[in-house]
Amino acid sequence: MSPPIVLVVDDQPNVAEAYELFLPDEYETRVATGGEAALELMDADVDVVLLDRRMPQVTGDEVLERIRDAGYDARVAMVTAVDPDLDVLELGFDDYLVKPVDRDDVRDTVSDLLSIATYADDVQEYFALAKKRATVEGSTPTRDLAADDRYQDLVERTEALKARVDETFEALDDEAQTGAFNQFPDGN
Amino acid sequence: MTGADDPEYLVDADEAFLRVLVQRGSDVVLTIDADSRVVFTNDTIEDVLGYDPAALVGEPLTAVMPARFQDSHFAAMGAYLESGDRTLDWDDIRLPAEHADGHEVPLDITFHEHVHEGERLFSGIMTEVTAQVEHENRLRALQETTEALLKETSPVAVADEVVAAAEDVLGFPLATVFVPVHADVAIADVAVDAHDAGSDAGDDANDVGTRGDEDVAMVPVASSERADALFDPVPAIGRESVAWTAYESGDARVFADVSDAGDAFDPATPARAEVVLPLGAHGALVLGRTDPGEPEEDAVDLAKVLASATETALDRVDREQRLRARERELERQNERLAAFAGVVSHDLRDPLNAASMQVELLRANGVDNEYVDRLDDVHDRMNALVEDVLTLARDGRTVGDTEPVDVAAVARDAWETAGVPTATLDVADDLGRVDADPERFRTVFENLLGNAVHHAGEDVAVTVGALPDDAGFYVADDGPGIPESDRETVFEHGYTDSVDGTGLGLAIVRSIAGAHDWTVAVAERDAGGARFEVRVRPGS
Repeated sequence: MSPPIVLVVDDQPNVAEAYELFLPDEYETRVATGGEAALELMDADVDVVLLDRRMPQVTGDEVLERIRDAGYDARVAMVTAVDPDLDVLELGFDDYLVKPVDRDDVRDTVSDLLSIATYADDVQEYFALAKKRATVEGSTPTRDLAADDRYQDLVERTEALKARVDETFEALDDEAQTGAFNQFPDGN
Repeated sequence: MTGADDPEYLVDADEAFLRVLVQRGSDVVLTIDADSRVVFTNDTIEDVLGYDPAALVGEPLTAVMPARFQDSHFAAMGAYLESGDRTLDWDDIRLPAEHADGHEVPLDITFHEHVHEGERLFSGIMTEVTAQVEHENRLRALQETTEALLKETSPVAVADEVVAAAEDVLGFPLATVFVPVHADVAIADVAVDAHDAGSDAGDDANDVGTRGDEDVAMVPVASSERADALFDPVPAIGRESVAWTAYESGDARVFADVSDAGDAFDPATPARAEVVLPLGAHGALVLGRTDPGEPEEDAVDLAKVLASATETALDRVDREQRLRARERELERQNERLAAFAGVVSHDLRDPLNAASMQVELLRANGVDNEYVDRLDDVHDRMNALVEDVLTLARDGRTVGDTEPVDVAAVARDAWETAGVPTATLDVADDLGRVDADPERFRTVFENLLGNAVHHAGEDVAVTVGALPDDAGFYVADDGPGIPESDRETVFEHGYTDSVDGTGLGLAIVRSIAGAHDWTVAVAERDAGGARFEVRVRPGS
């Protein structure tokens, strides 16, 4: 599996550099010191974006909007000095960090967002397999199923996936669990 | 009184004397028989009730009795004749009689029974009390006016109420409340505003402090309909006027004919009989009629009562308006301050974050020593300050929805964040619940407990207990206490005696308490140490 890709956006180069420093070495990081640069570095491979809200020229809110408009499903955490108010409800972010932040804030946030992404993918796959299994079970005699290797393989994969989904979910804290659920209503 | 058996007295009081006394006395005397027919009445009845006494004899008593009393009269009379029981009071009972022209005349009546030539006769000795009843009615009406004045919130509304009372209760068709205006107020504007716009527009006109040379004229803020019609409209008046004189001197004036007032008389006024009453610092009340004649004493006395009630009401309205204006100004200042604090605090977070990140980069580049560690402390403290300022600006002044909150539970909960492992917390179990915004309430405890830890040291023993009479709760510590001279200042912004405190914690506590209508104060603990008392029920 390719390493997770994190895009770090802050108009102060040293701040972006520090966030990059906090992240584990196995992550691939991209650093942008402005909204325009962030959009240039954005593509479908990016898993998580750490996004400053208040930036000159192109603001974080605009960057977020354009990321969503372009259809990227990366998880986005706003990192900002501004307290969230009701206006943020219209923004499509996945997490919200208020500055000042420290090493743990940054690491935990990115790691949670990655878990949520995995969780969402796994859940989707699990439901697809479970459905396939139910369809086959409904139309084939049990004796035939027991003898079929392809069916046995399907059962094993479904069970393994379910165990992984549960494990991932348990590992998330309450807030991230809520975030995980929120992945589903809009079809992610 | 001389005894009835005094022979000399009886000799002097001859038949003619007694006849005059009965016939011409100030009381009406009327005698009926057992069938309630008039057998005698004196001449005075003509003056009081308008009947020819001779014509009334032989008529039923009901001729002079309002219809609604007739049933009860016959019932009481019948019962008395049969059993001798007096079902009505016979002495000094107030009942109206019907005047020959149909109107009712209030009387105080005393009944008397005697036997004359074998027949039981009943006499009523009746004193007319019209003036007394009228006085009482006026007093009652003025009482109601005074109560209404208590509820008014603007000077013009007060003046309107007073003018109506002067007209309806005291019977002065011309009634106007004048208020003085400063030189810099356009007189015509104020007068027109007060007239046309009714209740609130004229308030500025009444915004006067004390009587002084800077007042140049008086303008009407309320006047009776007839005064408006007669003067069309009531004009502003200058210093050369009876109203100004009364206002300036503080003395009431009564004129049978105001054209006798000399210099102060306005030749254009159609008013003649006038009563002019000062309203303290607020102006004057002018009452009048178009025909001359000494105003009746009772009306003048009651007018003085009305003027005094008016002055009191205007004083109160004035005080309340100043207070409200002051509150609004403070509210505006607070809002500006909160907005400013909010902006600055948010703006500080960005450079603060950048500074912390610089420290991390220093460490990543191999610079890691006690100086760098100190920077972390400094940044932590700056952050605490920013958060406290934001709390104060945002949370302190308003309270969200309140609900009954378990005091002990919140105290223990707050200790999780505010306490340290080496310190102890003892929470009484009779603290009950208070109505509070749960989040703000937790902030109160976090700051009080945090204050104890900062102030008294990390081995502090903190106690949370109930105040007597269920009045609230206290948070006490066993530290060095707070010197008496500092017990107020500890609540001010920026008061701190520790290097790592922000000095805002107790300001936040007082601010949140204030927003809940609670009070918080410092008390000395018997055993030393500081004790903060939060009173959540001021009545108890």
